Amino acid sequence: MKQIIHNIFFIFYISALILITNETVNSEIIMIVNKNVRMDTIEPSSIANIYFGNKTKWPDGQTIHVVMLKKGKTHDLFVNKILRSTPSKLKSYWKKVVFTGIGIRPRIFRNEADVVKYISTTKGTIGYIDDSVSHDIVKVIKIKQ
Amino acid sequence: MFQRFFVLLSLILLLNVQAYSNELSDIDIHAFASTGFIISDKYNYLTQSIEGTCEFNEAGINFSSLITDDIQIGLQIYSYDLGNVSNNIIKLDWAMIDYSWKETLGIRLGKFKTPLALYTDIIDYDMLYTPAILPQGIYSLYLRESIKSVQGMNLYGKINMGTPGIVGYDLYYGTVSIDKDGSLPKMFTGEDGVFQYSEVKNLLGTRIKWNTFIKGLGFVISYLQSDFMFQINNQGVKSTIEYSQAALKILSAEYSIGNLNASFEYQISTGNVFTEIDMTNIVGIPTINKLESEIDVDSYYGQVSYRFCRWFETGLYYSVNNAEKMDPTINKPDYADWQKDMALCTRFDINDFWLMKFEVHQLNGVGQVLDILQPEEYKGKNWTAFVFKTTFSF
Repeated sequence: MKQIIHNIFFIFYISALILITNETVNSEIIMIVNKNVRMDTIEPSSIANIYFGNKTKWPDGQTIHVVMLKKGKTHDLFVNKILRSTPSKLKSYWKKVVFTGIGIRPRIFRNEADVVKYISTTKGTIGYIDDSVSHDIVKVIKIKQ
Repeated sequence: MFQRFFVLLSLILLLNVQAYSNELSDIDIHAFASTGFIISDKYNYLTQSIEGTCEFNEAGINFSSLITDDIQIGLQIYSYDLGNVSNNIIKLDWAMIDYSWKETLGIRLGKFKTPLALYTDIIDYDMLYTPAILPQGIYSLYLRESIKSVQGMNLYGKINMGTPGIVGYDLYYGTVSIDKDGSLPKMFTGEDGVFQYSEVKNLLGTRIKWNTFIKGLGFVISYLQSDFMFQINNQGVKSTIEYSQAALKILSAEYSIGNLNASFEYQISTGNVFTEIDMTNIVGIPTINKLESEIDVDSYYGQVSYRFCRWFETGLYYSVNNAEKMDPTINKPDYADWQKDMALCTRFDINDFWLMKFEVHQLNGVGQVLDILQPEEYKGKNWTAFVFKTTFSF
């Protein structure tokens, strides 16, 4: 009996490890921009400044256009780990922007392939996706740690 | 002048809709609608709440579009009702052209939301904060129409200072239009008076916001001053009330980390008031009385809120408003000199578009209970109000 319980526990443990490993492997967030953006690296604080409206221009003067995911694991990870904020605060910030008229809401997509496609065709855009999503048609900027 | 600007802006927006009729997403459209219920036990809170009232709502719809990468146009139409104020008459809330030239300098022309303190520009949008009713000493719902939008010019920008953080600024000049059906006329004229004329001149304001090097910690300094006057006719008695160099000075601090938000604000209102009462029509001979007084009122509050999960947030604030000291000859109790409000707020986000709020206010003093809402007798300084509000926005 003990052996059976031990085996079940072992199977659960291994399954959990596999899940956690998969989670880690599948949860690499990358920042992507349109190929006309002349930046190769960016700091997390700069990303937060962009997504919370404190930085609106690229170093060459062109306007930054923010692209976001509507919800989901990638969105939550991006907001929590990179912006170090919460989805509700980010949503609140952009609602403030549109209802006070001080800006335009960012483009929001339901899936990451659409984010890549939009960024590939729109100058000055920045977005985030999971590394596993195909992104050959956009430029990846490395997040400085 | 402003009407012409509004017509021009509407035309540009309409042309833009036509130009992009197949791509409506080029016109950004957002709307909100909220309705509430207020009930209180001893005194009227903002409206005729003793019997309970649903005359507490707001709704608006806005249209915005990017003309170029740096130029945006937009407008919002809006209506609200608060008891006998406004009664859902549709008005223009904001309409402007915004040119973001550089990160450090942009300009807005037209009618824009007033950059003042933490919440003045968003006072109508309760989905952007925890309470249903913000601390009334600084964010008076009753008087909001006289301060929440400015017609004129707004310079703005953000300066990245490096290690010390980011400093954002707004500098604006213009005027405010006072509607005859609005709260200020009702406050001055009472039940029997007729509001004849108002003028707001030399409105000048600034807001400087420092997002410090400590993540989530920010400080704001705001200043607003203007000269304004009203003319009222109350059963033959003509009154002219002039506020000279009326000023608001507000210091704000905000800290936000994770699901926790805390804020503190302190406001001082100052100014000189000149009142001229012309009773010639009553007395039959020229009879004009002139009075001069000074305003020096302060308000402050502390607020903390915490979001427990995606759908539930709660908050608590304590606000104090030290009203103008009463003339001892007027028969009012001492607690008419202040109003303190302890509010416990709950917010339920049912989904991304719909939320509900319940809150209880434990009040002390009646310093902000307006004369036109005044009960026939004073029933003690401690009283209670309950508020429910639900809002839809997209």
